[in-house]
Amino acid sequence: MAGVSIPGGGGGGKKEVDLAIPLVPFIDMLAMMITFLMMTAVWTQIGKLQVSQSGGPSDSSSPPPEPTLQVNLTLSEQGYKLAAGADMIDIPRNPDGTFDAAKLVERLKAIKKDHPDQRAITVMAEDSIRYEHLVQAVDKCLEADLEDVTVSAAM
Amino acid sequence: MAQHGRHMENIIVKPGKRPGKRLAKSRVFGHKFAKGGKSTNIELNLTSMINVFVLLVIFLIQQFSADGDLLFMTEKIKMPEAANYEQLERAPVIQVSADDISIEGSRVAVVADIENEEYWNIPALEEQLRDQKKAYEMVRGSGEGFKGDINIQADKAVPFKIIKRVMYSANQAGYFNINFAVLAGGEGRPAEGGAEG
Repeated sequence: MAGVSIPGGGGGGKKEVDLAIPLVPFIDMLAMMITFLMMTAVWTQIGKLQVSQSGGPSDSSSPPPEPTLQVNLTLSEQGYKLAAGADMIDIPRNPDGTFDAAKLVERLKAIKKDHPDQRAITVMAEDSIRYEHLVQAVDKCLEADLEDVTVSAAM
Repeated sequence: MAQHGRHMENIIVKPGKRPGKRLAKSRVFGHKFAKGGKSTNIELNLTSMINVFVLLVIFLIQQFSADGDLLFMTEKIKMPEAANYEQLERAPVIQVSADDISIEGSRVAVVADIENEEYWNIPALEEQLRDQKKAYEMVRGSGEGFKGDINIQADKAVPFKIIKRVMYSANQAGYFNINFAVLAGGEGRPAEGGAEG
């Protein structure tokens, strides 16, 4: 058991100088804390991706947006189609059928580098596109610091 | 008489295990039969146990979130992963699975029924959302503090055709700040305010 022995103290002292730290209540407290924390632990971390829908009102608290480049990202069965102003880039799907997200981020970062004030992007998707691919596209836009993401249906 | 006593000692022995004479003299096994040499009291090694407890408590405190469960996780909805997320806040939750659409746990539409409809909104969902907004305004005062936040918790396999109708219905009911609920994961960096909960 844990104890503290204080050396010295004179030979004539009658009091015991060995001090035992009471570990039992300490262990009890730790056991109770572990039980409580295990019950309330959050094992899955959940977050959100904030988007707006085309046609919705703009947030009155934020400053009015300055005229910037119109950036549109379209998700289709063929892959991504990125339009920045007059430029249009096709990013086809990978041979295994997945969207080429790495190339998309690369392109978006290049746009952000050329236009540092650019914050807005419109993500358009075809009806058949799965929700996970839409979320992946929005996630990649946020990764490239294009924070004002508007989601719209592809025409 | 003395000889007789020694003889009796050899005959009357205590019950129990006894080694043979040769084994009792053995250096290797002889001590196994020694009586009263070793104390049977064992002291628990508490220091290492307390170390483990303290580490467990620190780990669990890191995992602890005071926000509570904002979303109800079900088998039917497997959420997509994202890396650049923000912390989820309390708002009405629309759950979209492959079979049905629910708001705050109560089913409002069946996906198979609405899939082939031409118009964009989902009337039952819109009505429920309007009711929620009215209830919020009655409690908090009209328009005050209403930010129009809504959380969409959808299965990752749901087509955008359904999601756009859910979003449109939310928009029509006055919920303009749409949040896609995601699981933390994937590659990249968490956005500002994320990875806290």
